[in-house]
Amino acid sequence: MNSAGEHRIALDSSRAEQAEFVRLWTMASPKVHIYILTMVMNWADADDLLQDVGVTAWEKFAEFDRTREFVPWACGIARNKILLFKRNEGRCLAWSPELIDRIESGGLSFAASDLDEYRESLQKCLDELPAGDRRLVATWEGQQTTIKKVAEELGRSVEALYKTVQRLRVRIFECVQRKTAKGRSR
Amino acid sequence: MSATQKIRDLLLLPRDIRECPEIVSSIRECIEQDDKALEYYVQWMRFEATLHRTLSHEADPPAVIVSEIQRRSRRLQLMRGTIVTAACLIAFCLVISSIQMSASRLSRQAEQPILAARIEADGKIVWSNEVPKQSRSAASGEWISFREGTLKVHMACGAELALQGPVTLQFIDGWEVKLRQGKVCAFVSPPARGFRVKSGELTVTDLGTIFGVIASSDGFTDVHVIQGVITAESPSAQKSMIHAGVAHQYEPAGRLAKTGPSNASLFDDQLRVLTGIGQISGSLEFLYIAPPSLAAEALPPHKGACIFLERKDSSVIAPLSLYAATAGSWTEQSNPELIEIPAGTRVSTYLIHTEVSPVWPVQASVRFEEEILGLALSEPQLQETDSIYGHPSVTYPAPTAKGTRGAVIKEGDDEIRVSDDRRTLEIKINHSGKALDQIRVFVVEN
Repeated sequence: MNSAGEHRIALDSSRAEQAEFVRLWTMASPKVHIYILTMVMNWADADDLLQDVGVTAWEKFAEFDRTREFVPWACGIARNKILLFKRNEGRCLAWSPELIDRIESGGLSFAASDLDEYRESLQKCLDELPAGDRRLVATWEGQQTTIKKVAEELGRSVEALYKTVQRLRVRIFECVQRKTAKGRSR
Repeated sequence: MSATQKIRDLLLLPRDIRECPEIVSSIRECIEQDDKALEYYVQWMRFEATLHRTLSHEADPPAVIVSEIQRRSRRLQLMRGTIVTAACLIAFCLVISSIQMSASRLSRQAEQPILAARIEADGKIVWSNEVPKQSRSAASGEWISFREGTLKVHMACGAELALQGPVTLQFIDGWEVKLRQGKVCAFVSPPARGFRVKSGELTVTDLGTIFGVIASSDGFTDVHVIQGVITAESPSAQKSMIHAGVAHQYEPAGRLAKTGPSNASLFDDQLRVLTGIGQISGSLEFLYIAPPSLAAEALPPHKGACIFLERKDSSVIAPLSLYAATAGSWTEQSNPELIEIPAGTRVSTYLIHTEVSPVWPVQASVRFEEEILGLALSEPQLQETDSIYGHPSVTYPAPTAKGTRGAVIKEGDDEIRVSDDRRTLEIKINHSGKALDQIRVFVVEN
């Protein structure tokens, strides 16, 4: 085979590898995000770390053993990043390997079907909410500064509106817990 | 208080407070000491992340939420009022005066206004019946009337209107207006589909579009559909769909009088207000609707150059390298500096397109309602921003061999001038044998 042919094959295999990574990362990233957020408990840091983990996962993707599951592998990368990440600043929740182990054993699941089932339960609980309540929670999730504007327009305190949103969030959380517990007992 | 209860309370704190080192430390303590607290924490964080991912794209504009909450709050207040009244009836059935007080309180509560729209007026509006105010909220049921000028209105549903005086109009609610007289032009984005304009017996319902309604003093109503499709109905006429390019005229009783081609130029000023363009002068034509293609010679012969809105209020998703719109005059010899627009900045984009034409060179100026943030002047910049910031239905030119699609940069005779307030862009384009020159203008969205 001439060098042009070899070059094309190399290009094709690199594209296939890239497509495979995109597929795996798209499925895994919500779980990796939950993992990181639970460990650092800071949304901005979790977003930064997730991007960082994505980049490293891609760089090391050649080393990934395809017979193993992708999510635990990616979470392993995330674990190392978290341990290196600003651990001395006190704003990262899990700053020691022991605490990360403890949180991992506290119910964090990497099973493929878990998150899908969880999302389904969450969707059902959201569908049970009155439309107005759902929109209010959605606005809160979309942009918290919007709530401040809404509170200003209404002449209500941000605290009062905030309590309403939190009551609704707790209601949804308890509903999801009930539904997932029922699902597990079946 | 148990560790689980404590962690529950801590997790419900506002995010910015919860992320303080002291609170993080308290949460850490709870989960280190108590297994149930740890389990609760893990479950809650999973819930928070999944909820955010599920709902963040559903967020409504603030005005819609305000309207919704006010409606809910009024319902709640009415319910509470009813309970209070019932209790009064049982306990003090003979004390009529107290019942009357409750009733009057209830009626006062019922009169609490619900926001329908936000009005944006400049100093040129000549009001018929109210004290001029630059911008204010309008309540449901409120009438406005003005004799001259063009007024911009942001409806609670998200539709944007431009009214051209003389106009008399009532805001029924956040989704509906009643036009007694005057010209209304509506720019309705997909979330606001279903927005209605009533005129006499006629109801025009939007299905995601740009349309104009003219209510004449003789009771006739003209409906012009500029883009998309609407429905029109009245008690005396069947519901009909009106597509882009078509106009209907209705009698005062709502019967269809005649049909013909729509005339977008009747709403020229209003369309410019809605698209964020203040004034245009020189050989630059404002296109109400983006052309299907911008390949060389794809447009019909026109004045030499055109400008149109590509995307309204979109978010910069990754840092964007553009030429700065710094006040001054810029040519091939003195290019503006390159700057980076940070991710998250909200922008509207406009394309200035020029082709070889009899009018030579192209000299024009355009004033935008908001500040110009940056300019895509080179062919690579235009190519890179076509897919994200270009109009979704326009076919943009393929890369040229010489990379000569842009303007000013590496172009001997082109010149642009940015005004001191960074809202006016003057252009002088010489094609020097090229088929086309383009500039993408990024304007900040507030």
